[in-house]
Amino acid sequence: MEATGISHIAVCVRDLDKSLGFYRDILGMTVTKDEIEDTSTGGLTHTYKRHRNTRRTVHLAYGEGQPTFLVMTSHPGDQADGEPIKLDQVGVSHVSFTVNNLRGLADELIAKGVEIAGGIEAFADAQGNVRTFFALDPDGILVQFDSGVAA
Amino acid sequence: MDATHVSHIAICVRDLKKSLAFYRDILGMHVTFDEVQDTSTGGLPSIYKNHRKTRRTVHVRYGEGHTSPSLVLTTHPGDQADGGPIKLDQIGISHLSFTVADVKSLGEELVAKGVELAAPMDAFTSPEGRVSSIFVYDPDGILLQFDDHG
Repeated sequence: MEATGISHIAVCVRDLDKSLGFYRDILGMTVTKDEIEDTSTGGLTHTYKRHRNTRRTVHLAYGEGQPTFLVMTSHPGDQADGEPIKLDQVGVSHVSFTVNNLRGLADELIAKGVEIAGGIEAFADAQGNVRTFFALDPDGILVQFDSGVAA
Repeated sequence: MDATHVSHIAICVRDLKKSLAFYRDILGMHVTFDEVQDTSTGGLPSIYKNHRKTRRTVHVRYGEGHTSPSLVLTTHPGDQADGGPIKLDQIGISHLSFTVADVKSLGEELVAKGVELAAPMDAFTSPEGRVSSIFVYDPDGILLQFDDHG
């Protein structure tokens, strides 16, 4: 088979308003959908750990030119299970965004109270260059930023 | 900030041979990178649960360009990965979705090749008989979606 692209990446969060404070307000993504959906019927029920009546689903993208978007879900009035994983735990650990000015972004994130995993200096090479770093989102989910060189 | 695109999505797997048989041989993705890397220094130890000396890293992708970020598959040769994949109502990145032209025939092809659907095909079929999205399990039980929304 040949897929035409990756349409979306699904992220389950505890509190969508906190997550929007990060992904929309700090990272500058655009909300293209925000709806309450029924999750009690159809194939979706088989992809849940527990029965869930509804979910709030928010789509976030960087403008129109960016085809791969995040689908962020939470379960209002209900607790999500689990904890985010690290890179050496089985599953999808993180997504990486390519940005033009990594150092500038890191400074901005730190000023806004975002935690850099391990601190920014851990990601600097011997010459002091930073080509990638990882931040933690409000749920502790790792988010990577890179300068376009695969890391 | 404004990112230019999603460069990659990282997936930790137990056995890269099994994962390549799935992502490369069944899904038809191309391997663009396959190396053993040192993971004992730099920023990486702070994003690992346990200390890991090395990892094997394989990049797989469809085609070129920003519509198709690479998947970065990693494993720890001679070492066990922790944990298990999550469902949609557990905190974290539960899955990614590929856009394909014909979801139903892909589903039938995958089933014929021994891939497990997350639910019977009927559960993904609308009252009109249409299948616009399915979920399957990769060799580690990680959920993958296929849709025709793109």
